[in-house]
Amino acid sequence: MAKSKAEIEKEYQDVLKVSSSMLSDLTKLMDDNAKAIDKKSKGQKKFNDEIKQSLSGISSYDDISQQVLKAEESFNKLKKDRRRTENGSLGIARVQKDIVIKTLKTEQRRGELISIANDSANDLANQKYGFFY
Amino acid sequence: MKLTKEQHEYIKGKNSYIQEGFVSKLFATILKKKLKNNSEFKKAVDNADKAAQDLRDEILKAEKEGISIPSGLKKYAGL
Repeated sequence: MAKSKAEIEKEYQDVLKVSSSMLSDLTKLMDDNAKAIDKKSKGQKKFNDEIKQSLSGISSYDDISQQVLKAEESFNKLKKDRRRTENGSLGIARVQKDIVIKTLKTEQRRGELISIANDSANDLANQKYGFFY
Repeated sequence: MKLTKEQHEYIKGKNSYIQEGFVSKLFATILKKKLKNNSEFKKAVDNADKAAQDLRDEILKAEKEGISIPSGLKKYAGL
């Protein structure tokens, strides 16, 4: 059955949004691995909360770069505490941060692709059936 | 091949045109052709592929280190 205009428009608008399931999976990544650390320090808790806050602040592709910087800042703050080691909680935080950033960058690249395809589609549509004649 | 105005008018009256198929397929074909020749788009595809590969490598490395990765995230990365 043919889709209605409203359904097509909704599908189109959904494509232009940052994947919400990807964002909730990143939040899950932070939560699951925080649980694995027995005694969380204030610094670790703050790091987790800040990353989750950054993720919740993403609604469009334009927000991604800023939130990537924030994630780096949060990690650098945690790193300043010399008591943490790469073999311990700092190592876990580094991996979490790298995955969060690389996932966001993948999403950003996907957004760039969609944007170029969208511009080309708009150009074509604006030719008002020019491609017929 | 280009259609004449009369041919276009004829096609416009057909059921397939009104419902969706013909125009959307034609539009998609032309758009695909247009994007294939777009160097900016090709570069963006390469960048997206590289970013996705980086993510897959990072996830595999993390799993080896015992980090728990949500299944949805692995699926998103194409693993």
